[in-house]
Amino acid sequence: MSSTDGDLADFLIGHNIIDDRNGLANFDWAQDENIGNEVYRRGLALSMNILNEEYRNDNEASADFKSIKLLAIACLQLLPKHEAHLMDPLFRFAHSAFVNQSSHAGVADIEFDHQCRNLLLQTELCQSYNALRSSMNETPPMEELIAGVFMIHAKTCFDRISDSITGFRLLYEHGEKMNFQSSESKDDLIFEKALQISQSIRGMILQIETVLPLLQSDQIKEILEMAQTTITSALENLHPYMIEKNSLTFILQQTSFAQVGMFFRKFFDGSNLGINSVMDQLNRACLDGEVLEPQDKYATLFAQFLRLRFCQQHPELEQEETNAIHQSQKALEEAMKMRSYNSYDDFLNRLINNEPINSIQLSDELSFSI
Amino acid sequence: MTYIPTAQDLYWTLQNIDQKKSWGIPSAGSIYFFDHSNYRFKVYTVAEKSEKAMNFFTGTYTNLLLLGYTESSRILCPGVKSTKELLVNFFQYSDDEVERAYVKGIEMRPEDPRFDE
Repeated sequence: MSSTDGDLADFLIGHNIIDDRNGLANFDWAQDENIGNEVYRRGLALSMNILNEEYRNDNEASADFKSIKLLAIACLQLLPKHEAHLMDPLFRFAHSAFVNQSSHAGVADIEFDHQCRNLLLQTELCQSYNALRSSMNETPPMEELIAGVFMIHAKTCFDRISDSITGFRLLYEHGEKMNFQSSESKDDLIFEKALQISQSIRGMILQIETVLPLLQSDQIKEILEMAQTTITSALENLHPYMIEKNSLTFILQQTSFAQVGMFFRKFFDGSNLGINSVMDQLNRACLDGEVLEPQDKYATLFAQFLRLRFCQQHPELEQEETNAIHQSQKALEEAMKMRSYNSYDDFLNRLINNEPINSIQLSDELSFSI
Repeated sequence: MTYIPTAQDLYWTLQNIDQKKSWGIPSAGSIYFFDHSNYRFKVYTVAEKSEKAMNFFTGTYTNLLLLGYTESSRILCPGVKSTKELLVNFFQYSDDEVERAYVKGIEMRPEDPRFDE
């Protein structure tokens, strides 16, 4: 361990950023602005160092990968969701140093491996999305450039999501054949991976909806194939777990079914999917009549949004729209005010007031947070 | 650069070693022997490997570590240049037995589109 790493571990322990079980402590440390600033400064400084190949080569065999990962997680708590990519170099280096040092030691902490894989999915998708968003900032807007960058982005993301689906299958179907320290840690990793895959699919559909009007017909065909393959695989592989695990996973899976149904119906050859069957699926995801915990009610807000938007896009659903408005207001009242609550509140109220919604803003705010 | 396996690499490796007592890898100049109940393995390996064989060995070895297996012992076998020679010289395999083991290994190998490329 280098002296810098020693400093980092001391810093994290000394400021109660990590707890005595060597995990991230609660968020109290972030209430002190000075500590928050120092965490952020260290995270960015280390990130800059890691971008230097010489630094990586010199430090990989001795780096304190656990502290680096925890520092990056601490930074994620301070950063807006869509800036998670800033911590990608730290997670990548921590993972690489972990594998390198494990190979030399002849033993590996497989929990750490899968924690890094989960975190890297989040930062990689975010990184790719930021490249896409940068392409949108060109003046004047260059549609061909955006479309081209989007195709690269979509391929990158669907490849990474596919790899994560394989990772999910590895843990869920065969995890008992792996040497986990406890079944709880394995279960936590499966849960985290399932949530991340669900979130990633949700984000990709929002992003495709945003960029689709700019794509050429051959690009649309290519996107259709990529999306269909990966999304179908995700839904199929997650299904047995999501419907059994708990109310949150059930809600997320039902919402995915509804969103995917609407997506293929609207943009691709899903015209054989009747309006009523889409509406039925949306109703299943909203769980209006169920008594839910506030955090589960929060998880239904995206389905509430999808249902209300679907009603407004189809005049024949005028009667259902009145109920959808009422139920969305009720859900907002009952939901826990967490993560993207303010975004849902804003988007739902815009629908209720017949105000336009910017698809880029929708994608920015809901692509990376369930 | 450190080899980092994909989830597909780990998934394939787990399927491949499942219920197998041993795994011979000609491209890596190595043979693994498993104690699955204790998540341990010992490995016989050609002492002087080419860079390519060393890379394959590192890959398979890392995959096993990341499935939670630990190495109980490593036997560096001098005077042999291939897994075939290792089987013949250290395990007294006949040429026919080596050939059968090789064919069986390919037949039992889990499918992976990357092998078709």
